[in-house]
Amino acid sequence: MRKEVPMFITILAALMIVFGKYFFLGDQVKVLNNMDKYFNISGTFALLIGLISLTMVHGMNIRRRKEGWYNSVVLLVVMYGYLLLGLIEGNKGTTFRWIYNNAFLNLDATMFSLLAFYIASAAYRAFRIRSWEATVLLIAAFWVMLGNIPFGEALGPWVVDGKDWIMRIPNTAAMRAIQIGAYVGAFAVAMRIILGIERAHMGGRS
Amino acid sequence: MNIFERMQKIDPRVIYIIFFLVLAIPVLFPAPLPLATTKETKMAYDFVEKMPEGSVLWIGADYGPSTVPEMGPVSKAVLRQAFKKNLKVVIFPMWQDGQALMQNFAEEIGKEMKKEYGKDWVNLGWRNEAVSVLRLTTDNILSATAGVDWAGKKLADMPIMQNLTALNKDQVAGIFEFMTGNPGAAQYLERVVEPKGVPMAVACTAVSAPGEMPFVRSGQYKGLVNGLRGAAEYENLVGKPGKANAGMGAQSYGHLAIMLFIILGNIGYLLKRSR
Repeated sequence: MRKEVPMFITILAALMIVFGKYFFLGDQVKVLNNMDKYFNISGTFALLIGLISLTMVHGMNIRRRKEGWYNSVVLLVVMYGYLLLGLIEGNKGTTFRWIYNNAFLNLDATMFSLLAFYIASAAYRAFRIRSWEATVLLIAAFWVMLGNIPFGEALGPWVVDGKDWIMRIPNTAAMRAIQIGAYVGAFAVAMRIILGIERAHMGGRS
Repeated sequence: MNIFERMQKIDPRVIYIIFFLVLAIPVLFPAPLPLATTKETKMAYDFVEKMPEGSVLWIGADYGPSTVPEMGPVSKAVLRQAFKKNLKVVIFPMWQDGQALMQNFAEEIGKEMKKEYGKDWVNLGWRNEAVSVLRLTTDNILSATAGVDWAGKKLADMPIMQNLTALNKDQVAGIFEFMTGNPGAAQYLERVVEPKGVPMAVACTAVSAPGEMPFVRSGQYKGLVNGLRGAAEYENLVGKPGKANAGMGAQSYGHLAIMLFIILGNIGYLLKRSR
């Protein structure tokens, strides 16, 4: 029963989505609308599960005085403190928005901006013309980088025209092939799940 | 270690310091750089420009603080253009951060252009599992959003919502989607653009642009604003150069620095190999 019931629910949900999306009657009785509402409700419960799980994991870290346990204290204080502030003040609250705009936004942007330095260092290390393929890749990358900045334009219109051609023709062709391949793969995985061949999501083996 | 090996193995700390200076100096002392407009950016600009006065522009705010340097300036430029044309702006975030970020930008531009919240623009707010909520808005906006905006204010009382009940081509002139990943434009294509026939233009980060380009070629996007450069072009089209133009200096010198390092590394590699 532990396997059969989840499998039955999976198949039923999949068939309902197919029915709602591709059949006229399904559209008329608004099957997808109801499915979306159920999805919203279950997703909201998942948020609660996340909150509980995070509290349990970090609570355990603090109780057992694991390495870096004080980070867990900070996490729990900030998480519950901000949650409480949000509940009291609401989205529009002055303090709630001040903290978000002046702390979170800057911290998040700082974390991401560090990537620029790693990318610069990684590009320097990785881009070596070891083969013809690598050479083509390097030329394309240089051309697009140069075409994206005013200095490239200053060299002549051919730089920007060339960059646009790379983006519009070879890039589009390659991206289409990758995307179609990925979607065919996703369809195959979906079919395996619906037919019960793939069971990893239920904790079993496929 | 000989000179060729040194050229291939520059200390990362040296790269970081040079890169920091190359990025920081143009930001601290911005100098305007000439910039031509690419076809895709002009298409996106014209898409909004051709909307009839008083019609609804649906804005998808699907990015976070990490991409504000790229997405913030173009968001402001589009809002400025929309308010200038007296379009009614409806903000719908599928990213939780998009709600606060676009609210900040709309408040700033709205105040500058004397636009009133609830009458000229509204923020529908983020909901959990927002992709499902997006599809539900194509049927009934009030039902999908539980009838309240981002701050819990009743939508039914707002003048902007009096003639707007659902996201479809009869009520919404177009969508301008600001995206950096998933959920983003793909969800709009699948749930709104194709089934409901609402046209859409997209602004995305430069790193996402290669993946989005096929949809411009297929005609499914009515325009594409590509990264910081696209944002700078859009600012120029709107006639108010801002942070994107200022950032182009940093991007330009940053690109040149990376290219120089790569050239240096390859010269070292080729010379060492030839020996």
